[in-house]
Parts: sequence; C-alpha cells; structure tokens
Amino acid sequence: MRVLFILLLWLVAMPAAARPMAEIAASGELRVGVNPNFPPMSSYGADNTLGGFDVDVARALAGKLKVRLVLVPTEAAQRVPFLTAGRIDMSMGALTITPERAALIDFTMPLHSEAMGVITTSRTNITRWQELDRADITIVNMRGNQSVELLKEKLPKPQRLLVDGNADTIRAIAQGRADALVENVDFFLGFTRNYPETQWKVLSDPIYVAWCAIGVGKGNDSLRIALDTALAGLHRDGTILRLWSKHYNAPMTVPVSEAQIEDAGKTIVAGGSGAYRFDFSDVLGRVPYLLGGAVISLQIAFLCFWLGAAIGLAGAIGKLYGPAPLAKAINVYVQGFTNTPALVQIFLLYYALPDAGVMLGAFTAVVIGLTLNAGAYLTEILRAGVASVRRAEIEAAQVLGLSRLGILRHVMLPHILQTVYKPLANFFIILILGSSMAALFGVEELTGRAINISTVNLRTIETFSVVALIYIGLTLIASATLAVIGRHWFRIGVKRVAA
Amino acid sequence: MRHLEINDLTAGYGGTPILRGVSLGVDKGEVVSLIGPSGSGKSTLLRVLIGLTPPSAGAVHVGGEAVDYGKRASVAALRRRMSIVFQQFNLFQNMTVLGNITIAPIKTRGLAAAAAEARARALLDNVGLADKADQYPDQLSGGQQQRVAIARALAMDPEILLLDEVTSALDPERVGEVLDTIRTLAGGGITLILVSHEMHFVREISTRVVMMDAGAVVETGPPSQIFGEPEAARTRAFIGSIVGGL
Amino acid sequence: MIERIVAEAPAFFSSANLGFVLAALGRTLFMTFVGCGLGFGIGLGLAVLRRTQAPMLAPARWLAMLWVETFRRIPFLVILIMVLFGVQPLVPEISLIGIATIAVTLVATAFLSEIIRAGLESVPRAQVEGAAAMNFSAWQSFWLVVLPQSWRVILPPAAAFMVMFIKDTSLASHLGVVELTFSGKILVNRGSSPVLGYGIVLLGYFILSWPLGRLARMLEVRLAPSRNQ
Repeated sequence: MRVLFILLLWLVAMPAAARPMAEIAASGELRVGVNPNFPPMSSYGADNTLGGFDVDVARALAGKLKVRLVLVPTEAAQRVPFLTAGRIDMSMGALTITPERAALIDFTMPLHSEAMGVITTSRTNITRWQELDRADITIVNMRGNQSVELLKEKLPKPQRLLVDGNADTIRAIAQGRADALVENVDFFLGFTRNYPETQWKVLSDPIYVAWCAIGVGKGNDSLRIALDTALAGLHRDGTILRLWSKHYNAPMTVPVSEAQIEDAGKTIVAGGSGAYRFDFSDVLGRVPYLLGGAVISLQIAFLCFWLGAAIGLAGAIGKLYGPAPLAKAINVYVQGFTNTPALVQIFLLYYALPDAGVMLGAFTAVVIGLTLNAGAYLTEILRAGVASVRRAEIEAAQVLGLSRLGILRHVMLPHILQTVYKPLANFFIILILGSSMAALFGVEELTGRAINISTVNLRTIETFSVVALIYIGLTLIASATLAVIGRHWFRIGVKRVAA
Repeated sequence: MRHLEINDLTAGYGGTPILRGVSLGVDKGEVVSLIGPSGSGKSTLLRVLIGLTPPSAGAVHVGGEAVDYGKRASVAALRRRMSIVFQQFNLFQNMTVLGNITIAPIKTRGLAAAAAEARARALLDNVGLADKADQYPDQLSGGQQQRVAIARALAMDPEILLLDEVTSALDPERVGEVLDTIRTLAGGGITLILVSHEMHFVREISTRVVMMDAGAVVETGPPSQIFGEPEAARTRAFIGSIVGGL
Repeated sequence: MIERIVAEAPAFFSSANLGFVLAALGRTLFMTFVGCGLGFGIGLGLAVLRRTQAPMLAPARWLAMLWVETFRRIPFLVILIMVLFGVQPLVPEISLIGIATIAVTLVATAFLSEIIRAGLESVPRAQVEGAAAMNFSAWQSFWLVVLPQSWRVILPPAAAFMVMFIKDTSLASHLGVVELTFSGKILVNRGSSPVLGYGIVLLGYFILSWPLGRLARMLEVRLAPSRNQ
C-alpha cells in the first residue's frame, strides 16, 4: 500500500529537491553523479571502485567545500534527470552546456572543452570530416549526447546507429557495425585499446568546440556559487589541466580561458523556481512517431511468434516422438533458454558473435534472440497440447473408421488448438511486451523511440506515461482480437462459462 | 408461540421468485419433512431460514424472537440456535474430522479446546465414527462424511437442525447409515426440519409433512394424511407419481 | 576467437572478478525475492479486496483491478524507467536497487494477485457457506477455511512466477543496478571477451533458475493430488 501511496503522491506533485549549500554542508556529503562507464572520465577500475578525471575533480571540489564525496553512478542519459530529481547535488560526465539543459538545470563555469573530431578505422579512406557525408557511411552515436542533433545538421547523409554507452560506440566500429564516431575524441579513445587488432584513425580537425560544465539543480545558486569559487581556484592553480593530462596522457585541446573564469564570477542569475511542472506538449506532438515505433514492436512480436512457433512445433514433436538423443538435445535447448534471460542471450548474439565473424544487425539479433527464446517456451506449450490428446478419443476415431490423416485433422488438431490457443495468445502478449528490450540494442521500436525522445526533451515521465498508455492500448487490442479469433475459429470460451 | 414461526416468507434470485409467501409453524421436538417436486423451493426455504439466502419479505420467529436477516448480530444469534447439514456435506477439506467438529464451538462459542474435543468424540461415537477422528474428509466415504457433517452440526447444540437432502449425494448402499443416524435424533427433543426424497423414511419419521410446489405450501398434515388421503389435487398427483417407489 | 578466450581465461576468472559477479548475483536475488515477497503480500491484499462485496469498497476494488490490469500490460523495462523517474524526486536517497525492487514489486503484485485470486476462487462456495452456517465471521471463514485450502493452487504458479522474474530483473541493468547482467557488461567494457563476460552471467542465471524451477515443479507435483474430494 505504501507503494501505491508513493505513486499517488507522484501523480499529485513532484517537489523540487535540490539541496542548497548549507544543507550539503550540514549533511557533510556532496553527492556527485559520474558516469560508471566512461574512462578516462570515470569508470570502475580493476579494484571495482570508480576513478578518473571527473572523480579526481569531484574529490578536489569536495575537499574545497570541506565535505565528504559520495559518487553516484549516473548513465549519460540520466545526468539531468538525476539532478532535477535531487538524487545528486551535481552532475558531471562531460555535461555540455546547452539551452535545453539550461532550461532545466543550472551550470557552473566551464570545466573543460569538448572538441568534436572523428574516430574511424583504416577501412574508411577519409581525411576530413566533411567526407563522412555519404549514404554508405554509418555513424555511431550515443543516446542523450548533444552531438546527436548537431550531427543531423552537419552530416545529414550517413546512416545512424544509436547505442547506450561510450564503450558500445567503439565496439560498434571495431565490429564493423559502424564506420565512424563523431565525438569528443578524447573521451572515446580510451576504449580503442580494447580492440588492438583494429587500425584506428583519428582526424584532427575539430568540427566544433563546445564547453562542458558541472550541472546543479535549477535555482541552487548557493551551491553553484560555491562550486564556481572552488573551480576558479582549481583552474587558476592548474589543477584541472594537470588532472586532464594525467588521465588523458595529452593536454586539453582548448583550455578554459581566464575570461570564462571571470565571467562566471560576475553572473549571479536569480534562478526560477525549482518545482517540476508536467509538460506533455512535446511528447503529445510526437505521438505519430511513437505509434510508428509501436508498429515495429508488433512486427518484432509477430516475427518472433511465428518463427518461434515453428521451432516450438518441431521441438514438441521431436520431444514426444523423436529418438531419445533428439529428445534429450531438445530438452537441453529448452532448459538452457528458459532458465536464462532473453536480454543476456541477445547480448551474446550481438556482442560475441562478431568475434567469430558473424555480424548481426540490432534488429536481426533481437529477432533471432527472442525467436530462440520463444521457441523454447513454445516447445513446452505445444508439447503439453499434443500430449493432451487422449488415447480414448483417438481410439474412438479409429473405431469410427477415420483414416490416420482424418484423425490428425479432425480429432487431434482441433483438440491441440483448443488446448494451446489460450497459452499461445498469452505468449503473444508477453512477446509484445518483451520486444521492448530491443530498445537496449538501438532498435527504434516503441520503447526505443521513447528513449530517443526523452533523452532530448528530458521529459521522461511525460514521455513514458504516454508510451505506457500505448502499450496498454496495444495489448488490449491484441487480447480482444485474439479472443474474437479464438471464439470464432476455435470455439475458445464458447462451450464453457469462465470459471 | 410456536418454536419456529414462518410468516408469508418470500425470496428470489434476481427477480425470479422462488418462495411465494410461505407460512409454517413448527413446535419444539417436531420432525417436519418438506416434500415436493424439484424446484418447488424446499431447499431454498432451508437456505433462507439459516440466513444463506436473503428473504425479500416475511417474518421468521425462533422461540418467540424475531429474526432480522439484514442484521449480522441477529443472524449470528439465530445460528446459535439453528444449524444445517448440507447435501454436499461441505466439510472443511483442510481439517481433520475432529477439527471440523471442534472448530466452530472453539472459534465462535469460545468453548475450551479440551471440552470441545471431548464433546466431539462423544458425538463421533454416537454416529459410529469414533475411529475416524484424525482422518481427513477425503479419506472417508460419502456416508461417513455426511455422518461427520451431522456430528459437526450437533456440536453447535442447536435447538433446530435443518437437513437439506442429506442422502441425495450418496451411493444407494450408504443411504441407510445416514438415515439411521437421523432416526436416533428424532424424538430426542431437537426440532428437525428435513428435505428428503426418501419417502419411506419421511413417512416413518415425520410428525408432520409439508407438501410444497412452485414456492408455496400446498398442504400440511400428518404422514398418514399426506400419503394416505391427501386433500389437494397437487399432492395427490405428486404422491401418485412417486407411489411406485413406496 | 577461441584463442582470445583461452588467453584471457586465467585473468578473467580472478577471485576479484568472481567476487564481483557473485555480489551482483546476490543483488539479482535480492530484487527478485524482496520484490516478489512484497508483491505476494500486497497481491494477497488486493485479491482479498477484490472478493469483498461491500458497496463502500467499490472504488477500492476498481482501483485494485486497474492496478492489476495496468501493470500486466506495460513492459517491465518501461515500468523500471517510470519508477526511476517517478520515485526518486519523492525519495531522493533511495538506491537504484531500491527503485528496481519497487518496480519488481509493482509488477509482481499485479501478476501474483491474479494467481492468488484464482487460488481463492478454486475453493468451492459450499465451503464458505458451511463456514457461514456455523457462524464464522467473514475473516474467520477466509483465514480458517478458504486460505488454507487455496495454498496448493496458489503456491506452484506463484513459485514459477518468481523463478521467471529472476530473469526479468536483468532489465534492471539498464538503470545501472550492478546486478548479474550489469556485472557482465562492466567486465566486457573493461576489455573481457563478451563470450566470457556474458557467458558467466548466463551461467549465473542458470544456476539460480534451474534448481528453483525444479523445486517449483516438485511443489506442484506434491501439492496437486493431495486431498481432493
């Protein structure tokens, strides 16, 4: 009931939770959001603790503020939401200063620059970033990064692959899924060491220079000013540049200027109120885009259902009537797939197979993974159906003189379909919901599109509320349609009154 | 005032009337049998009396006290004086025979566990099932289960016991043992109201027989009248239709 | 590929890595058991609520039904994200695993309350009438008669549901909960071969799921034929 209460509260209002400097000092803790997977900014080291440039800067800042440092792992897409939620006091992870973000959070003075360049391999024979603007090039990018929108303007022609983590971008290029990454080169070069066989190439001409700062809660001026004062000190005594060189093995391409440091000291903007206000306007305008994603979700569910049913039927028959070794092999397949998560199965298909020279696109990998998974479950469902045909009914049909085919068609099949129809229909609904995990591989189905939208408009709750409603509608329509089909063709729920 | 007084009782399910103004008076210690074709409202009358089906109108007095079926306390007071044995026994499957008999006295009447058990064992002895105390209902035959159900109802010390077609769900060879058990109750001071299709038994045991049809009482009289020289044509027809069995 | 795996294996199976994965496995278990345990309790409450007939409780019954129908029709991944962004403004101190556990609870409540409802409904009406005729209160009738008889119908599918949910918690890796799947992700991002990193994760899930699944089926076989009429 408490959960229900919390949900109700959340429906009523979302209070602002930014802690002013006095409160932070009183608690003795500064909660800093750093990316858990972003070397050399911050990542889990061999000792499984977080370390990197951001971590060292955060530690220096906490030292200046005389509070203890608490690191909160914060994925790229959650840097702003964690802040608005009050989960963290300040957000790092190469947070580029943008107007969209500035509407929701406040920024300190710049911490470092972000010079956008190109990482590619010897496979592409380009020397300048403008040469990337070709339709046969795939540019990999990270959801939630400012560069996604920017790139659409500067390089409209290439295809795009969206992934969730820094490491995934470099892996995508190493595995040949993508040709180039246009990003702050420094941030990503660290990952190239994981793939020494690949001949990496970095183009040096910067496309664009942006500034990254530390994000604080909207209107949290006391903390922002305290951080600015501390940062000014760290900039002026060279700590920032020293830490940068230490972690990147190279100086910062464009250092923060003295003018920028002084500017920040002058601007004490009165922040707006921090209360969160629901705003559905953006997501409502994108409902057609989301519905397009729903169609893709349905496609995945359909494909996996029918392919899985084919596997399941073969599996069921093999298990019931096949020779012992075959039945045993099918059993290993069923046990293996039903006892492990589909998500990890797809991880393996998507990330491990390329090492063996088999490269699957995200959509294909998801469909194959979910199909194999569905096949295992459907083998069990269909086996129960085939096994449910009673000996007595077959004997009765034999006595009546039906042929073997006649028995199969008129006695066994109707019986099997009656038995398995409902579980099959339920499984189809499960597949519609399960298809959402395709989003984690960059497939732009309903959930994927929702993530795309919310990482740009930063209206996650609004976006996902709408998406949840679409899913509810989708499954309700599917359930109703399946019920009608069942009643019409298989007389499901006709004879018996629901218990 | 009679022990049980039923005045113009009506009841129905969702607009369909089942009882259409039943009136009946029963004296203490009487054995009254309800007969009639199926659907005549006999079982419904018992269900209304014990408070499982709400009446739509009419009055019921037990020992001179009016029963208000809309009030929980009134129904609870009624059920301390009246009990019922069902056609399907309705023994609690999750309890032993002993548990079935002792649970209500302990939980609803505050009887001490030891006293309740002693009483239960005595009752089991009476119905001839002393050795089955620790078995579960599904380990017993239908007849045995029904005798346990009777013992369970008696454990509540009711003044009035309702018996709703208690032999209908039994194998024919098991009917006798249950009827024997009921015979031992009759004339022992307890008021029995039973619905039964065992006409021989009804004729033998009843002090009075009530013929019902279409939710109303057609005729009331001693067994000799109802089975010998019924007054109403409907009773004659009914007795005639089953007389082959007599 | 094989050579790479063989070459990496000794470093990969270090005690630090194994301890890391084991701790993550513990978090997977925690989310599943605590979430499903809470879900069972609340689900039981909802199932009982939906059996009541008092007109006064009609809005509560309606809300319970809404909960059940809603959370069975939204992908777990979407629920995770919604709980993350919905709960943390209210309880900023809550850990990520706490958020994931709330999400598990919400979904488990919906599914388990349906399983419990079916179990309660499997007890014949006659049993309730027998209790009523013997002057049991509604609570006594439920607690002494209905619930004890519905366990054998409720427990097997409830156990199977929980075993199934072990695997679904892998989606919590998206929030950054360092559970089993995320531990594999971290190992792979640190340069381990995906075959090793995700392979050990698969193995971890199998070790959790398979024996518990067997246990659930044994429970079903043991409970199914007992004390039927």
